[in-house]
Amino acid sequence: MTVTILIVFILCMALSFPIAIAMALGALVPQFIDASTITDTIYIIRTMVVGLDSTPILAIPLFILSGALMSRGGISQKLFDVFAYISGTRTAGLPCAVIVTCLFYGAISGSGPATCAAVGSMAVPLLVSLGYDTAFSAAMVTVAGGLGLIIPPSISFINYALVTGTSVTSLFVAGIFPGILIAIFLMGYAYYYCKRNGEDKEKIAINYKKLRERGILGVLRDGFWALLCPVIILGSIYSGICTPTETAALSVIYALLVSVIAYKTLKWNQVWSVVLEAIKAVAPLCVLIAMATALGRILTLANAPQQLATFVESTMQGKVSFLIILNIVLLVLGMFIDGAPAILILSPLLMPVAQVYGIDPVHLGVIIVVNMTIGLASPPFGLNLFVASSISDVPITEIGKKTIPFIIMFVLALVLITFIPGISTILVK
Amino acid sequence: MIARVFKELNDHIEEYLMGALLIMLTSVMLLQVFLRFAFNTALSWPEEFCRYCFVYFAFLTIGYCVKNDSMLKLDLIRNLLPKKIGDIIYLLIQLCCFAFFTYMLIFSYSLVTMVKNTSRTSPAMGIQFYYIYISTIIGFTLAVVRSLQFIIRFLRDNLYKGSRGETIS
Repeated sequence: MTVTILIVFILCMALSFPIAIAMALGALVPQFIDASTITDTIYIIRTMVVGLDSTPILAIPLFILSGALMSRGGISQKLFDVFAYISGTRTAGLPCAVIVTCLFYGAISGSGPATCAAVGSMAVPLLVSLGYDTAFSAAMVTVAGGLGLIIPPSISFINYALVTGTSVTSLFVAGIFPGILIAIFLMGYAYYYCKRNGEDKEKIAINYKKLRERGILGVLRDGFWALLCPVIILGSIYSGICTPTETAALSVIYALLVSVIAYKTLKWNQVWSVVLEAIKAVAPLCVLIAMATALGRILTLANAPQQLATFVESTMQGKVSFLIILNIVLLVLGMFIDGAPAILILSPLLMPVAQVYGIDPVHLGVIIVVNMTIGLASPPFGLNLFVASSISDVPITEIGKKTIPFIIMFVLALVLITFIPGISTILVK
Repeated sequence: MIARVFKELNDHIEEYLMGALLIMLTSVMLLQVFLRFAFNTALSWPEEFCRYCFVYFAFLTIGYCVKNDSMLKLDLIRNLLPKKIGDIIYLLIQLCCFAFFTYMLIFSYSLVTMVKNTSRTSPAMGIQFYYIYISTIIGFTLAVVRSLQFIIRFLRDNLYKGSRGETIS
């Protein structure tokens, strides 16, 4: 039964059916094989409704809406100015400032492509004007944009929590250190690159002088509301004052007030167009979640997770080999399939398997999400590549080549995250 | 006048409904947070209200995505195969999707009837449960309509281009 369901699902997907429809078609299979099954069509539609009827899921449209408001509000520029001021004229100062901006912007935005677009559209032209290689700059935001998915809030973590029943708050808290670690690794390569290829110190000095003229207080005052945002979001989630969903609602109103009143970068009459933008971003995900819940439920009833667990346990000796294989499979899969459907379908299947090897569900969530984030930036289909390519006018293949060293650094960080569970779980209460 | 209203609705109905639902959902959730902070009272209805808003929102996204052709897909066929064959398979897939939505619409009607007969009500707001399940009928109806429109548009575009001897795109 399990095999038939999966074959129908994968076949439909390969035939270029929309992935969500392929999922639903897979879910419809059992009733045609076994007439006595309770999983008839009515049951499947009901499962969709029940899957959507949840409180954590509400955080997804809310965080996407606040992200859309922030990006229209030009928050990334304000953040970047602060870090550019701090980094000054040091070697690789500006590339590192871009990576740190992605890190902080990740604490505002819950999506990788959105972070890549918001930071990239501002930073890539600036880096190019200061003499950095266009493809290198684009490749850097392609990979660093993924931090948006690892630093909380993160749509990927919410998706994982929805299908596995793990707490969103725990996952969010677990994402903080892995995100910082990855940023440090990425900065390491940026430093090496700048050291080897040299930088245009003159142009950088002129740019820095302009920032100096505004004074540290001027830059900080401009950046204050932008910097406060991650503090509010992370603070309220970590302290437990608010649930992730409530935090998401707060971040919407905060983004609205900051963009419209504090920075005046957004007018009231433009708000509706931002709402439409958010709808455009969230719509494909909603269809996917509805159908994935149905397929997930059907697979569980067909006993798929247990079958997989038994199979893996009998073929793989020990935790280490399991983790290595898991990472390789996820990395390859992530290169070809978008993160959201992969997380929604695989997580509930993998969780019982991981439990056999004593892997914490939160740690497993971090591993899956980091793997899928790498897929987001890696050739040939990584969504961030397309975003960065449209920002920089550099062909995808060229950006793809320059992303490889960054991705290698990302994978090194992944190895540490996989084998040192503490990086993820130390903050989780 | 009526024609203009109809065109406006045809072009944007999902957007209007979803936008309104999203704004309502956000406002009510904020109200909930505000009440909890200010008066330390947690009402039970706002959360339920928001969840049901989202159920409607999510079912409306199906029609929206079909209309804008924005559902995630691998799209191997049209990239790997010759254009003409790829297009035919693409059209067949669209027809399958249309059949799928129609099938789901029929069964969502049975589901609503079934839930209506149980006359269960929601815990916090006490509304009849089948009101929530009606979202499935609305969602799949729009999906059927949008999918049919999409197929007609696809056929028209390609036949028109084909008749002028250009390559089918």
